[in-house]
Amino acid sequence: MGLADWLENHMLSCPYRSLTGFDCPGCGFQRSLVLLLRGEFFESVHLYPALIPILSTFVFLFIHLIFKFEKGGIIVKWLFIFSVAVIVVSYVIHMTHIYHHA
Amino acid sequence: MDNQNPPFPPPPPSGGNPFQQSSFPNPGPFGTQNDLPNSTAVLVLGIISIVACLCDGLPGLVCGIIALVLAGKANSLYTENPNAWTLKSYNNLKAGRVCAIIGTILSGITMAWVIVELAFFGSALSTMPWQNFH
Repeated sequence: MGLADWLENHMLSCPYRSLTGFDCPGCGFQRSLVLLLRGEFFESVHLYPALIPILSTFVFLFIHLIFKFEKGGIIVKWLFIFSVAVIVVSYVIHMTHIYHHA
Repeated sequence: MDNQNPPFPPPPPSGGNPFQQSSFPNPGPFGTQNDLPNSTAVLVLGIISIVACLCDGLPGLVCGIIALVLAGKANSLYTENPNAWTLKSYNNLKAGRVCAIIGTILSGITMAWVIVELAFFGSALSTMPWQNFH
């Protein structure tokens, strides 16, 4: 709880959002991380679906750099492509949703 | 410098028997296969490039371009003498290059879009509405 509270009070603000008022593709990451640390898994996925692919990519990257798997680089590559796809698709859905409900 | 060479057999002459390559793979300069230089750095920078591109294009663009330059150098080393380098590090290098290409392209798109937005909002703020009624 302490870490989540600390993160919630120390979030970085997004320059793109403060300039334009629209979300950038990374907006929601920190709120979603706080929700995930509090155990609210489905709310976290609903707020920012790409959080768990990104975190798993980084975790697997560090494990691969320590243990040096034979095919680890290929797995990291596909995790990365999956994360990018989730980011792009969720951002497009998010923005069209905002556009239709503005 | 001659007395510093280790007593390994000399490398086969280039342009010799092409079947010699398969039976006697040319070992590296030290007789073993080394990891490609910067292969893990390419992988890490390629992955950081997408996360850094999320909010602002510049860090992702820098990371992606550095990763692509390092990957180009290491790839030319590998194509010179493929048997001198471990396949594992080459897999890392290929994966990192793909990640860096994706990250660089997306960072470039993001940065171009941010510049367009800055130009749009800058012009919107610099010309106030009442200035049109002169």
